[in-house]
Amino acid sequence: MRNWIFLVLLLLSYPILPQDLELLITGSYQEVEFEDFIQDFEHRYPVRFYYSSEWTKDLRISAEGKNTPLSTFLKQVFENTSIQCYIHTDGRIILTFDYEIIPSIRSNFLNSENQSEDEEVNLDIFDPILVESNSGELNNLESKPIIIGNPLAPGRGVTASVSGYVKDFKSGEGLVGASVFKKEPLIGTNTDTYGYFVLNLPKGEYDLLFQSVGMKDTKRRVIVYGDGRFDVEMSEDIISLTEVVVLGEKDNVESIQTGLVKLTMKDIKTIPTILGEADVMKIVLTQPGVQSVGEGASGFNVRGGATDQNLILLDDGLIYNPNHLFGFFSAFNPDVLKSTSLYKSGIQAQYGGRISSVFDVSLREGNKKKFTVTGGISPVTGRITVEGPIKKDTSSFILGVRSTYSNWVLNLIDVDELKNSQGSFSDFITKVNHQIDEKNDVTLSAYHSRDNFKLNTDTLYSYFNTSASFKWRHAFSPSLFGLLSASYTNYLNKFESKKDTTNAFDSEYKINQANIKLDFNVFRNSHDIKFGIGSIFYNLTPTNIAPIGEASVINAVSIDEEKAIESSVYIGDEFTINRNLSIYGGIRVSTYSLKGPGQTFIYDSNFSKSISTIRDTINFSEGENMETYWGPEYRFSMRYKLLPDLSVKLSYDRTRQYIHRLTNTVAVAPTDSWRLSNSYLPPQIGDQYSIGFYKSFFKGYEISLEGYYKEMQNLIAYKDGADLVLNQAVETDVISASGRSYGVEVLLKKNTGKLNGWISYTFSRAFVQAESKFEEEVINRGEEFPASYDKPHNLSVIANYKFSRRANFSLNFTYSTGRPVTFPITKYQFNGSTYAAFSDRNQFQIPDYLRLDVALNLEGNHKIKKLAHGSWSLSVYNLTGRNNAYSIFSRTNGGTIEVFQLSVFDRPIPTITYNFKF
Amino acid sequence: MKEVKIIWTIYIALGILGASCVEPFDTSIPGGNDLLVIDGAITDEEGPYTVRISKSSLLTENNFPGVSGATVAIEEENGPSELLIENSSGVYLSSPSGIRGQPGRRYRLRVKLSDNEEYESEWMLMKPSPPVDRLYWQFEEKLVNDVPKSGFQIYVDSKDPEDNTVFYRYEWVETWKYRVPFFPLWILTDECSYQFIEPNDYCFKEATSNKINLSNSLSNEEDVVSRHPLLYVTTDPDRLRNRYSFQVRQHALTQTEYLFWEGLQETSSESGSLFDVQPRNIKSNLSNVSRPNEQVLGYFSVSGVSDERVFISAEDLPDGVFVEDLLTPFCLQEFDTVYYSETALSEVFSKVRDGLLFYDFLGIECPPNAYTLVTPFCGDCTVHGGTNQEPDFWEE
Repeated sequence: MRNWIFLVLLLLSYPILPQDLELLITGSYQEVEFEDFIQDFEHRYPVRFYYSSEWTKDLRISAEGKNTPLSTFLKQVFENTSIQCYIHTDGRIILTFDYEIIPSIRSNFLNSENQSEDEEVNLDIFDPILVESNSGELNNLESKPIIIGNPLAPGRGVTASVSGYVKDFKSGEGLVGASVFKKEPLIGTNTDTYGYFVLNLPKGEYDLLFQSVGMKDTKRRVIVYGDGRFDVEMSEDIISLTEVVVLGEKDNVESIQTGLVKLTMKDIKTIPTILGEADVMKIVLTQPGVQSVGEGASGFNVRGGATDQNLILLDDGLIYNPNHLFGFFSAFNPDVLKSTSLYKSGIQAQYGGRISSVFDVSLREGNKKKFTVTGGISPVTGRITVEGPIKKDTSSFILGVRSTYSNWVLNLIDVDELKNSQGSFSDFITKVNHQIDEKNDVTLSAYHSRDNFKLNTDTLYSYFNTSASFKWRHAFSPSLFGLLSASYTNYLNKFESKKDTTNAFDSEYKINQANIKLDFNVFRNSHDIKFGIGSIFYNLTPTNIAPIGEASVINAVSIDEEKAIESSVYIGDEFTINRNLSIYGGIRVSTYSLKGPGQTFIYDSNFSKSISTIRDTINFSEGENMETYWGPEYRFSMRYKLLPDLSVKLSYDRTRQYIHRLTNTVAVAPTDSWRLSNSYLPPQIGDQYSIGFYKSFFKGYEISLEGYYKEMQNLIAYKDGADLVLNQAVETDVISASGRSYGVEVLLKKNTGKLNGWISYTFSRAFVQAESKFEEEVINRGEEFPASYDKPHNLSVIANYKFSRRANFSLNFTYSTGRPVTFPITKYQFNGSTYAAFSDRNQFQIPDYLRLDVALNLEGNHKIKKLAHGSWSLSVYNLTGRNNAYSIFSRTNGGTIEVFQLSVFDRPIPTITYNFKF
Repeated sequence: MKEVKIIWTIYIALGILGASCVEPFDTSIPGGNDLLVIDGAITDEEGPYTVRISKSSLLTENNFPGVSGATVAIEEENGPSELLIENSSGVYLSSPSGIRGQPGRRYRLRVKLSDNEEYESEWMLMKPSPPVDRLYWQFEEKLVNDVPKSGFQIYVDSKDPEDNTVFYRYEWVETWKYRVPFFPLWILTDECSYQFIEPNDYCFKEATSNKINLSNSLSNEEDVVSRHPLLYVTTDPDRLRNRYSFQVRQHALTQTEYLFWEGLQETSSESGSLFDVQPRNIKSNLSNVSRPNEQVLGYFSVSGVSDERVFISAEDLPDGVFVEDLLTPFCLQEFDTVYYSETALSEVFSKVRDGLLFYDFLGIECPPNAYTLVTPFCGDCTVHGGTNQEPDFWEE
């Protein structure tokens, strides 16, 4: 009753509308529901409210006024809410959630003491845009303007730093490599691994566009006053599943790095799948500059580098073997991967420890919004991935399991040839991610894989990779991030021979390492600065041999454990000088110490090191420093855009490596061992110079031409007659060699249209040289000779043809020169016996490698609201059935010497896979 | 349906796991696989010295043709040189009264082939070999190819008080006395008569070392070789049955030559296991004068030699240890008996002409009940590769 009296009284007062609508409000509201308040207020005063009911549905208003100016009154009304109101002169009151609309800043701006007279500011753009809709709903995100920065304190300069996250609407996970850009003038960038972007944008009002592979393009209207941030969610574009990205700017032309291959899982899934599983390693192998020495090689070679020179990281955990089953499958479950980056050169200072490349793989976070199950089944393997929120929008988990069940299948079959064969693997990945608050999030990832196989002999090979990492990311401010990470890796490799009980043995080696590091990322003006510090603790047990069973006469041999600490500190700055020129400079200083307990042998310096020339032994106790190495690693790269679609890049890197792999390449099947640097095994050092040209043309075509030259020191070469595996004093069989490699890489990509894919061709050479005053340390008379992975010509073609939305055919063709090999060429009689003579080390090549794989993928229908999505994939690996030689080995048989070649696959291998997702 | 599924699955699984294969690899190279092999040696012992020149063979064959018509010369630095004479295809010998190696001097081999290609070795220093300090043996029981066997391990001790030698290579010659169980004492002349003959009871057989045996004194403070194992002589028939002699020849090598033999030793010991060592090409000290990069096989060995001998008798075996006699029980089965008849004598003569040996009469009367004959294998020790001739050095 009382209310109504007040209202009547108020109605009598004539509303004065001064320029700022200076209405005087008299009234009192106590816990009134918002809708009721609005209705009443609008009835009494000549005003109209515009708002979104979503913000106000639970709102209750309590306010009191007696001839209170409207603005003051409304301030009171919305005091404890995040709602701001803007009072327009014509009586429209616009409510905004979180952002304020300031109509005119001209007076403020011009009066600001900070204003420099030289600066031009286009003031016309500062009029606000008002959006009307029925009943005041403002729900069109793309046109709703977003205020960035504080209009009252815009800060110096004509540009401001705008940052934020671009996320997947369905899962809430950050989108990697999404493009964020503004047109006219063109300013843009790509999101990083977390989906985060930072841009230096001019102040003003305009559209900011967002594009990402497989997502619907979107834009946001922004009004930039000063530094600030906002997030954007993008939804999946179901229609254009295979319309690979057409950006305002191509990734390659834009990014500063030479030698960078970046792939997101969306990219990978549109590329032909062999064996029905998207395989990141296979795709990486089709890139120029990346090769492998054949099926069975447990690693890959980048730009003339050995297989132990690649740093393979899975969410910052180190992986020693990226392959399952002879490289037939990659060790990474494709359903759990988010993106991969392979750095062949232009390696920034935050990476170190291996001298040829960095292969950085990130895992997806679980879907933060709903549970999803994905998977695939083929006759030999199956995989399933489960993910979902733990707490909606805040934390999630993802768990992927993959396994072969071939052993079960083999037990059903009674075929002689298969009885002794065995081949199985399984892997397991999990990641749990929790956003503690706006500034902090933590992640825990773990990976475990196991492999077992027998290759037509009675020797069983197995290896196990385990890795776990914990990361805590803290945002000190929108432009300063810190990351604390700790990880642990364990790699165990063994083989077992039970061919006959008197010679049965098993041999194994293992590597344990624990990492801890602290990284910081600062975005300041046009600088993207990264710096940090970290340490790795190694514990390596080189090959140990033990007899199996009582009848075995094999002697147990064990080589001492090795322990070491490798630490590093780095700083690097990527500076975008202007639209055309970006440069990066960084330095990393790494130090290494081999720790006791252990022994170092002292050798007679007049002779080449051998067991018989040991003069003394120095013993070290636990924790004592046995040997220390350290050195600076300089990193530099530069990108200059000659034309909007043509850029040139240069880079120089120096890198150091303290852990080394010794391979016995003459054995039938691969055997290897790892050792840490010691007094006689100095760290490997690499220097690489690289230049590249990148051009995009027509629509969707890209071509890149890269050249490199690399010099390497302290490479590991083997003396003639070396015993690498079971040698305590491995320095007696190892020679420090130097190496150099060079090459030209051409890549032509077609990203759009029914037919897409790429062709890559590399011409490259890699050489090693071993010279010494000791005859036994000289290989091939001290001349340069081809490295064991030197394959001059390498051609890869990946083609994908889309018949329709649901069917596509893909093809993968690989050709390369055979790798070098040493073999016996003749036998002769001397001093009453017969001996074999060999070619020069790596003088000849095995036959060329050629392989063609094809696949046909059929998707289920594309109803968006279906419960489950499925697709079939039919593929043939090695369609021509060529038996590509893998290794050459010789056997003495009575008085004769026989030489053989081993091929891993000698026939085509078809598979059929069913993939599902729900 | 189940059948179809299994066949389909077999095909797939076969594909992946049974698909690896091993094939012969063609090792023929452009320019041919045959290389020149020069195998020569000079010592400070009396000549002749031998140089063998041959060609190497394809791996799949065993063809080592000698190279004839070459001019071969051994030269002493600042001293005489001698042209060797071809004895048989590819084998060149010096004259016994010709050049003789002297410790402290350097020697070189020069070869000119009939196609005018010239090869020569480096100048190699001849080092004097100190006398063998002690050559001895010891009874042991150990595993040979995973089978336990007893025998005598022969050891050598050596020392050079002047610390010059350091690198040693050992070769040896074994000689042993043996007999066959049923050596005839007489020959048949008539039905009942015979004639004594000198019994062919003992023979001497010889074997030369075929494995490379090396030793060095690098890990000792003095130049001493101590208890270096040479050969393990087992109680397998037939060496220790009667009397056995072992002669060691000790070569004093330069370090370069030592490394050559060591490398060769490693190559020949590879057995084709998973721990295969890197294939090794041992660098020769011989090279083509105009084309130094040509791969030449073999070596010109220059060394001072000293030798020593030791004897072992069956009595030296410990009690209860003996050499098994497999031949006697076997030969007892091998007697050929011709029973007396009118044609018996001619039958016996005919068998003797065919190679059997008359052994004995059965029965003490005349004519005998039968004649026994024995195969040469059981009656003639020379059939086993020995000679009746007692070696000059033999001592009982």
